[in-house]
Amino acid sequence: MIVRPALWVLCAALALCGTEQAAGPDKPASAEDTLPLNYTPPPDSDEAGLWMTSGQLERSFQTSPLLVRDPALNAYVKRVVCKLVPERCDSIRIYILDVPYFNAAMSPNGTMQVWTGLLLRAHNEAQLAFILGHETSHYLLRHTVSLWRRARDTSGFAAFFTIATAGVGALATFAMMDSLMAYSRDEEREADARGLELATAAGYEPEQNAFLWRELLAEEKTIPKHEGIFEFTNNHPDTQERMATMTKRAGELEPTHNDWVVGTDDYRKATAAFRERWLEEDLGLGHYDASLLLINNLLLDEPNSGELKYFQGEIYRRRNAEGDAQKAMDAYHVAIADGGAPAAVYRGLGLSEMKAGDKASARQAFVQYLAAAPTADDRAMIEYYLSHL
Amino acid sequence: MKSVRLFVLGATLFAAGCAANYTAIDAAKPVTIGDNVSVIPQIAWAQAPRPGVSGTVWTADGVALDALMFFPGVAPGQPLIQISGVDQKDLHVYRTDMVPDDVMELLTSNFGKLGYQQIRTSNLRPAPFGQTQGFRFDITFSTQEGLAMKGMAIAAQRGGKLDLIIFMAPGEYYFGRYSDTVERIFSSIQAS
Repeated sequence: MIVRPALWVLCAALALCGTEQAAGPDKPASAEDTLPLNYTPPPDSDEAGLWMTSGQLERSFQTSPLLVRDPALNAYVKRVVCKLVPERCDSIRIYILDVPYFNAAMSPNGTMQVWTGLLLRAHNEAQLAFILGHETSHYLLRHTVSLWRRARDTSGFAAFFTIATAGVGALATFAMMDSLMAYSRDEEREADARGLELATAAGYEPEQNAFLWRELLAEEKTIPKHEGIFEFTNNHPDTQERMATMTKRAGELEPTHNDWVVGTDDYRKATAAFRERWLEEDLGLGHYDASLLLINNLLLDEPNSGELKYFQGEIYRRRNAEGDAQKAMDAYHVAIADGGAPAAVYRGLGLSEMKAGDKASARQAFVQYLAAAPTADDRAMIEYYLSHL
Repeated sequence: MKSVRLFVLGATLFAAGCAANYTAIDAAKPVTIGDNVSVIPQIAWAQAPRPGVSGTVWTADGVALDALMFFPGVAPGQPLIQISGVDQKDLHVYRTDMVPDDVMELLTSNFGKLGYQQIRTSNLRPAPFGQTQGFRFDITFSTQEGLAMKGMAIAAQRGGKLDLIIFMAPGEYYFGRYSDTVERIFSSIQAS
């Protein structure tokens, strides 16, 4: 279950939260521990009550304005899950929520949530598969039931239940759940092992497993503490231990096949239509240092992406730290040269040139912006700027 | 736990009205909101308490349903919205070299700090702010509870400071109910 609005998966995967326990297993749990196919809890059991609450939470997602309904994107994420657990394909229901934080979760009744901040940060299908495989493992191993059961027994669960059943959106619910729910470290290690097993059995390259975690840990360090979006550090000894375990297992598995799937092209094709919007939303959080890390990570795979260079320029322009003005203009110029940037690249360049005092360059950029986006909703503002240059 | 705190901060703008101490605002009497800016309220409003958040807010049906917020005289180096418990160094601040695009983005980042989602701005355009040149823009976002909100803002940069007025309400029903009234309020601005 979700633990943190942003890095709960990281928390889950790296066992940064939860009760202190001795190191547990790092191999898959036994088959007897796995949720039976087509399982439904006995109607008079406490688990049935948890399913009922899960169902109410699920209905709130169905009516949430945050729900991403695009059929193609939903079908793509569903296909990835079905590759991991083909026999459960029909029983796991996926809800993509338009929230710019890194997040995914499952409920005891088979509801899976995937937040767009996760889809933005994953570089390829394999990385998405490892994340979803880890979470699916919590569900298969019935950790979700244990988690919800523990949460139910806390005084705060009534408040959570109220929120969940009020039909509200995602973030407030999970903020409340944050204070209630945490997998134990043994559960996390079991999910690590089972998740790796599921994803590699589906053919996904093992090396991709720990890749994203490393990037997220770096991103975490840039977020102000009070905002609590990322509140774990890689100084935690258990984090290091589990990262080492992931890397070691990946190294052992990597030579066993030579046809591992990474799925970069498929992933980009599935997410390309949404990335500009997701990047805008990430920028809107005002976490400019974190956004810059994210963009730079994505640029490692796509160094000639005009779209990414445009957003790099936007981050520099909005952050406006020492030297950022020039970096913004440089990024905008590269974005224009590389191609693929939105028309707004000229607006960003014009704003930067105008503030730098280069009226001729600003005028040229603004004119190019209006030519590239003749129906832009800020046309009157740009024309106002032009009239004062 | 920290994310619960973020949720609480995000809810503050709307939840502030849960306490007592509302002040009645007369419909026809001009009200000075600060920084030598006055408006004519047009309808009867209630000024709501805002513990922990800067600015002044008026509401007709309750701050969860409509909120007309005034941030007059934001000085250089100050955040647009000051939030109790949030370190000021972590908030983006107003600067005199900002252009209207920057101010709009400043509001966006402040809303992001409050935990709002899907923040989108549009229709940035020049507009009179009383007798001076100002600008307007529209904004949409979702609250952490998933409520789809709409907003309209007017601002001016005068004497090295920023004056900003923003109205926001749920997009369904409440925004439309008061948008014409807010337009008249914006037209009534006197700034000296």
